[in-house]
This record gives sequence, structure tokens and C-alpha cells, in this order.
Amino acid sequence: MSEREMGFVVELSSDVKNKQRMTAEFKKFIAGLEEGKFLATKCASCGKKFMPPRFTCPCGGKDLEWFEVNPEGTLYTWSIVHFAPDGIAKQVNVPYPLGVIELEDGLKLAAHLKGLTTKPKVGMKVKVVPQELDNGNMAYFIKPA
Amino acid sequence: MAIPKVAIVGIGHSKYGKRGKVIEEDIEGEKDTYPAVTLRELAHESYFPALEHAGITNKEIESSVIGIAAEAFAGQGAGAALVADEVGIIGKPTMRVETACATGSTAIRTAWAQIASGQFDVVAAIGVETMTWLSSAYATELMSVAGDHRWEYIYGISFPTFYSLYAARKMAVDGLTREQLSSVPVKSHHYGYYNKNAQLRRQITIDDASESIPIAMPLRLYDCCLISDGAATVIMANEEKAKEMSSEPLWITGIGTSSDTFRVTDRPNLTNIEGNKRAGDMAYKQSGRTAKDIDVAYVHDCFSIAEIMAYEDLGFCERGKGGEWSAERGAYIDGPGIPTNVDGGLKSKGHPLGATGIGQVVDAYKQLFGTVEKPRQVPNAEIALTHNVGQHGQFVNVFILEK
Repeated sequence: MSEREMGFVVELSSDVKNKQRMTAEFKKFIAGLEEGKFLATKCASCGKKFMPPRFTCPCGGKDLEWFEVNPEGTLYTWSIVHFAPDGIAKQVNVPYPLGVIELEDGLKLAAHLKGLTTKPKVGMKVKVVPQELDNGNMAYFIKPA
Repeated sequence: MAIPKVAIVGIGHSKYGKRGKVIEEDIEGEKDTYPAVTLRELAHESYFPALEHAGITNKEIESSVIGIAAEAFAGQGAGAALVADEVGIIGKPTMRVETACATGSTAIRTAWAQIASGQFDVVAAIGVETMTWLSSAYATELMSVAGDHRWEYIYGISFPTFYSLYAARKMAVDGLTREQLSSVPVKSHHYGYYNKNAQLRRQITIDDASESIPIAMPLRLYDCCLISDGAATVIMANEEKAKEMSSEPLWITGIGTSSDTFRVTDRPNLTNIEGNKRAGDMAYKQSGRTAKDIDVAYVHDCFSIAEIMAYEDLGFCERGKGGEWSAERGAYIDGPGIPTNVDGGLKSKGHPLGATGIGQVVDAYKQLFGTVEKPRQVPNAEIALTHNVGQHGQFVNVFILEK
């Protein structure tokens, strides 16, 4: 199982990291990224799907199965951040674009937008792509499909 | 489904504003920054006027509920103990509540429950926040870490960014325009200009708003509310005590509350906030009122887009039509709809997190009893609605208030 952290260019402070210590299930999500896969979970009781994955279902179900999500979808919404919070502004140059991709069955994921040659547009075809960062962390980006 | 009768019998409101910071050298000659006003002074400024307005002394107060959203802002842990002691409510139960930017209204909701349950007859709800001695970037950081670290914060999503995601989606789906967004802060500043308690008393134009610097596009500076120091207090009582101590009690006839998903990506849509609707529907049902009955409203305009979604979610206009409703002066006193945020809202009056929800109720009281500055007085108002949101819908409180 992966021992890596997940992150973007933003490193979490040790204080925050401690609060967000990785569970075994979460490590499986990162291990999926290492293999180029996006793993989500599905409740065996009610069938509801979760991305980001949940490990218990609000219906009361505790039996959730992993499945692989098609990484292609459409841009659900976007933002271009010009004024970042302190902790991020120290690590990332502004402005930076980010977006939400809509995947199968209405599943959504937020990430930075990369490789756009036009202004972001709701509904444009995009895909979510895993990538290892220079610091060894695993991350994912939304890129034009 | 009427709820137990609980009234507001005393109100107090500090001026909201940038109360500033002081920089002092320590013994090693290092420069340290401190807030120029602390929770102590701010609590005094709102609590004692409220006590005086209610015509009572600390002796009659049986319990207090203190709203402080972020102790990191004040640098004071267990702030309720400090505030209650400072204003002299000693030897009576107290507690701090926190629901992010809805902290103030949650203090009222908690005080209401203490009275409605029969546990206490007279309770003070005090909201205080000191924020402006920190830089805007650090204050934004303190608020951003309330998002999901694992799935949102690491992508640099701050609170302006969350709301920009709604704005971009609503522009694409509902045809919301830049001008419609700008009509919200123009209206807030129009009325805030007249409010003596407001932080930024300045009229602005549509062009000022539409051409202001980008923060998280599509949102610009004038789409975003202020960072403020401030305090507000209400004294609340059960029916018997309220009638005994006040000739002008304001009754809480609806006390709706709800929540929404922690992560923005788990929402079923990003054109509305379903938690707003659930809280609003609960308050309407309890009071037997609908949006048509509301004479004056206070909605949580942390961002222009938030106010537009609130118009729709609370039924002031149809879903998808909030932008048009705003541009057609739906929220003006002399407009065709419901006068909304005629105190200047969070945008012009200010947003000291823990005080905001209480400050809305204080202004609603003054509106209904006809004591606000003339140019922003709604004539013959009888029923008010207040709507206070924490994060982007993770906490929502909607109150209906009647004379």
C-alpha cells in the first residue's frame, strides 16, 4: 500500500497533516493514482457512488466497494484565483485556474486546471489526470480532453 | 405548528469597522502586533446598551450564549468565559457556540432553545469578533482551513473561490450576468451609506463593482464582503417575562435551520444552496408565513452571488431569476420586491463573524419599531426575515420576526 501523501504544490503544514492523517482506505485511493486509476466507492446497500470516496454511506451502509471511474468528463465549473490565502500564496503563483470536473453518474472532483489554451468554459470536454509531483507527492489535474 | 413564544426584549450593536492594530516592541526589541480593541471592549459596546434597552440588570440574566467564530482571530481560548465575566454575568451558565459565519444566529438559536425548553426565562446572546488586526491574506487563510484539507484546501480553494465556483456555474446555466452581480453591492452600499453602524459608508456604481480588481474570477473585490471587528447582543425572554419587561417585544415566530454537504463537489447543483431552502421552508412553516408576507429581509451576502442565491432559495423570486430580480431593483425599499439588506449587508455594514447573525436581528428590531436612519427605513414594516449562513451552506439559520 502506498506511503505517499496526496497534494498539489501546496504542502500542508505539519499541524494540518496531523489532523488529516491517512487512513488505510485513503492510501488505496493514492495507490490507484500511482497506477493511473481513479478509484471511487459504491455502497453495496443503496448503490450510491462516491467521489471523493467515502468509506461509510449516509444510508447506514458500511460495505462500500471500490470501482474505477472513467477519467473523462466535462467542466462543471471553474475559478481563476487571484488572491490566495496566506498558506497557499507562499507556495503558488497567482493567478491560478481551478475547476470541477463532472464524471460519470454526476460524480464531481475539484482540481487545478492545466494545459488550457482558451478561457475555461462550463461544459467543455476535460479529463482528470494523475501526476507525480517533484516532491514525490501524488496529485491530479484537470486537463483538456 | 406554532413554536413556543420567545421574544427579543433588548438590543445592542457596536459600530462595525476596522478597529485596527497596535504594534509594540517586546523586551528583546522584536515588533509584535496586537488588536487595538479586544473581545472585552467589543462585548461592552453591545452588551450594556442591550441591557439598558431591556430595562434590566445582570441580576435578571439567567444564562448567556456567546458567539465567537474563530478563537485564532482573538487569540483567546474559551472566549465565553472571558466575555461573560467581562460583562458581569458571573455565576450563571455560559457557553461558546461556533458555526463559522452563522455563529451569531446559532447563539440566538441556542438561547432560544434554553428558553423554549423552560430551562431559563431570560438569556443573553452575545456575538463578538475581532478580525482586522490580521492581514486579509492571513484572515482568508484562517477561514480557508475550514474547508476540506484533503480534497479542497490543497487545491487552493478559499471562501471567495467556493463562491466563484457557484458564480461561474450560475452564469453558464442561468445566464447570470456581470451587471446583475454588480447590482447587489451597489444596493448594499446605497443603504449602508446611511447606516451609522456600517463600516464602509460609500456609494458605488455598477462600473466600480464590475471593474474592481479580480479576487477569484468571476468574483471581484466588490463582490466580496468586508473583514470587520464588531459585536452585537440580544436579550431574549419567554412570553411572561417579555410582556413584563418590555412594551415592545419582538417575537420569534420561525426559527428554521439546516445544513449542506461539507464538500462543494458533493452538492447536487451549484446554482443554489439547498440548505438555504430547507432552513427557509422550516421557518416559513413554523410561522405560517410565506415570502409574500415579509416586509424587510436580511440575507447573508458574504458574496454578491450568495445574496442572489438567497433571493431564490428563500422564495423572493423564482429559481434562476435572482440576477434579474436584483437588477430590477427587487431588493430596494421603493422596488417591486422585498427590501433586502437595507442596513448595508455584510458588504457595506461589515461581517464580524460571531456578531453578524445577531447584528441582523438587532437591525430587524429597529426596522420594525421604526428607529433606523430615515433614508433606509421601510415604511410600516411588521414582519422581518433574517438569513445567516456558515461556510457555503454547511450551517444555515433563518428566523421570522414579528411585532
